Amino acid sequence: MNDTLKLILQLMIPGLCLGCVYGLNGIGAALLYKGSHTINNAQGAVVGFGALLGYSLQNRGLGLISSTIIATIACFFVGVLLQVGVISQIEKKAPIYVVIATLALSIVITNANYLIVGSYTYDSAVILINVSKYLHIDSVNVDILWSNIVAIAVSFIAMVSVHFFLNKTKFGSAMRAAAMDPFAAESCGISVVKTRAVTWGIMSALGALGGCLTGPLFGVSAGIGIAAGAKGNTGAVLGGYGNMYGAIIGGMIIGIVETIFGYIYSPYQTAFTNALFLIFILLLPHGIMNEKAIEEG
Amino acid sequence: MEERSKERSSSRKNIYRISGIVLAVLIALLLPVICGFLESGAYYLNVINYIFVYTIASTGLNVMTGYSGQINLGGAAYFSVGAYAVVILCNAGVPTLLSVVLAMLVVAFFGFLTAVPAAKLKYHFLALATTAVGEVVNNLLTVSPGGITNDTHGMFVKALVLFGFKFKSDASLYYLLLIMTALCLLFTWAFLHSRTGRACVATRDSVDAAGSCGIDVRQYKIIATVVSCVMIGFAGFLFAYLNRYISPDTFAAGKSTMFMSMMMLGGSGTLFGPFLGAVLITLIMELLRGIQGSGPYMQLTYGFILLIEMMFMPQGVSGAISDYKYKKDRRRMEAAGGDGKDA
Amino acid sequence: MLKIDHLTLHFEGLVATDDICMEVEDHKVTALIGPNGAGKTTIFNQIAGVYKPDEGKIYLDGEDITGLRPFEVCQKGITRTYQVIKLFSGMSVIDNVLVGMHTKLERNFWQDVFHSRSMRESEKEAFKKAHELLELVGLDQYADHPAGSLAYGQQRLVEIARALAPSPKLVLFDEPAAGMNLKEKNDLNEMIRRIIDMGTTVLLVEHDMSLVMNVADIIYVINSGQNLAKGSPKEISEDPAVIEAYLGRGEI
Repeated sequence: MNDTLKLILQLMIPGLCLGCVYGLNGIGAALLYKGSHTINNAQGAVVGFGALLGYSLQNRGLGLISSTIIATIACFFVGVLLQVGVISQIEKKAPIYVVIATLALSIVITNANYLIVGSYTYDSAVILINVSKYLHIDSVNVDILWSNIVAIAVSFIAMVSVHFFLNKTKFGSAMRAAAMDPFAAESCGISVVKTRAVTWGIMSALGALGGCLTGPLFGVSAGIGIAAGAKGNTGAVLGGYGNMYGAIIGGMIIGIVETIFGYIYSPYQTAFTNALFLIFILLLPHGIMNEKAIEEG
Repeated sequence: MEERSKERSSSRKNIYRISGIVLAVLIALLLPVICGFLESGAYYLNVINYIFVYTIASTGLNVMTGYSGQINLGGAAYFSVGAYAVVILCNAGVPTLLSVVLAMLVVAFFGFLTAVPAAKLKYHFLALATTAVGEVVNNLLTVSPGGITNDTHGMFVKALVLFGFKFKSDASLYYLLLIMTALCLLFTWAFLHSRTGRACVATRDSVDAAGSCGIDVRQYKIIATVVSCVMIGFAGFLFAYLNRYISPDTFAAGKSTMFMSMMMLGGSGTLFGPFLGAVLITLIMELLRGIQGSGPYMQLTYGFILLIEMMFMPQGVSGAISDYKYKKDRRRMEAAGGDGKDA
Repeated sequence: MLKIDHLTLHFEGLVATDDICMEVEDHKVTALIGPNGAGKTTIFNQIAGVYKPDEGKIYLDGEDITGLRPFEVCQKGITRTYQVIKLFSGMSVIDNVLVGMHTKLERNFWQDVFHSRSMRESEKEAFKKAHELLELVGLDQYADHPAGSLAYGQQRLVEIARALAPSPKLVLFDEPAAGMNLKEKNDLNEMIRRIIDMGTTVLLVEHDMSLVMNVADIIYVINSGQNLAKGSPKEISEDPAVIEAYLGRGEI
């Protein structure tokens, strides 16, 4: 009994860590859907890009913290550029094309990643907190990787920051207004172009942050983010699509469940996670937070 | 006087059109022979065969996505089920024709299973859900218990034997695929010009109005999906006997994206769009493969082309052509005056 | 033909229709008028099956059709047009009308998809009828044009042709004159008369008073979700309660 408990605890922390990354991606998905009623299929690619950016900065001698910060900020602007340059063109024609366009974008960015990096996995060489350093909890005799703890902590800080930004700042309120009713917001002097750009910026930045945080854990490779981006959507559906907090909770649940399942039955992990997604989107489309975004088509 | 010259020019156009069609048919029938005289003829013929298979798959996808508004990003799932079902049955000794029929029934059933819940999802979420289905199928195929699909090592496929004839050469496959592609296009045309097909298209354009015309939207979405899936599965079967090798890798998400982009580039919601798209994309990929080899460069360029196309010409080549033709007709009509639009 | 009994519908605390009672008689034009937001379209939507009423019943020729889904309502013989035009913009004009005929073209799936002889004959008949309907609304020359390319007023006419395609018992017109100019409105007036002659009963919601007064046999006035008045055009135009409800509108 004690052994299983120990095992679950051991798995929960990495699961939670992954879950936080999914949650970060889920926040982006929720914000985007609330604001523009579209879905970004390129999120995963940006996660990978951010991770690679962070890694190459570290290679040039910057510390873990500064390279993460710089990569995150850089990807914010990448997101802004994508929205302004590419997505807005397509939104003008027909918003539904964004789904396919971001798919194409995902191919472009992922393969650009491959070209920059090659297809092998790089381990983050320079790390502040040694990957192999464990935190030992005597009471339950469990070893937890410091990197996991750091990742979880940083993710929480990011999530709280986003919450404060949206609810306590002027621009955050403007974004929420524009999400609710773009026309009314425009007539109140809010630039929907700007709010959309910032939405994409935040989405990309959060994704990159997730990528940089998991770099030390899994090694950095070109395709690192694809699954994470998709699972961000899964978590968002679980939590109630469009609801930011639901996305966080959903992402964390997915992370934990997936890790536990992956330990038991690893070859079928992809099928399992996707099947979960399908179950939720078909049977419980309103998710945990009962968000009525997905309705009868 | 003007009338007679107009008549003459329109009958001249008809002559051009008929002779163009006759010429095209002749070339199509003699293509393998022509390729026999060309330097890399065998390679060209092989590529053309793949174009046929992909045309059928994209046309199938078009029926549900372009014409019925049900986006599907997991087309590879049906493609692979069709392929594996036929190969497994044939290897088990079932006669070819029966295998194909049974396999298509399997695909149809699978399509039905996915169609029923899909009918109630809205566009974006349908996209996500179909991607998920594609991933699940791919994962299951890769890790199948009992080695049904022989894992990632794949299976070699014996040549197709139909009515005692062995389709071993590219030339024989060419004629088979030519006929199959023509039949599929004909079927698609017939489907769209039937009461059923019209109802499916109506569900795309306005769910509410379709309902008030007596159409059970959910039913027709399911019909469109199943028809689509069977066509894609059929393409999968043909692919297996063309490629002579199938593995879960050949049916990864990349194929789904490829069918989607062939349909979009050529023009979704048009009859020949997917064919055009298949031709264009296959040619582009082969060209890139020649210049840069497979791998990231090729994928990158291909993704980039798709992106540009979505940005500037989302209706696809065929769509752009018919837009242009329509605008020309409109201008001509307005110039002729008195089209009764002014109140 | 159509009997509405005590129709009541709430929208999250707001009463949309309150105890509405109406009767639509065969071969007559019945009009539903009232200020904006009075609940006229909501009544339509409940007849057509878009909303399910909380209380009350709707009878078509004695048969209870309350709460049927829209496509079932159409199968019973009621078609409609929309306030905001909902055409099948990706299809041609004539295809739009053919879709309208859906319920009357019952066919075996396989014969239909594989174009059997009976299907082809049925299609020929259908095309003939569709062209006749387009001629009725004056748009036959646009038969093969994409429906989305027509002018607004013309698109309305296509919707009308589509609604008439299955030879319905009753057709619901939701503000058919919206966005039409004077000539088009006069044509509409005549068209409605011809529809009655063809055997279809008409129930319409309309804001244009001159059209209503000219074409309607019976008028129901609705205000704030409740019945206000019922009568012939003359009676309604002299009813003090109606005049008061419309104070400031001044189109009578």
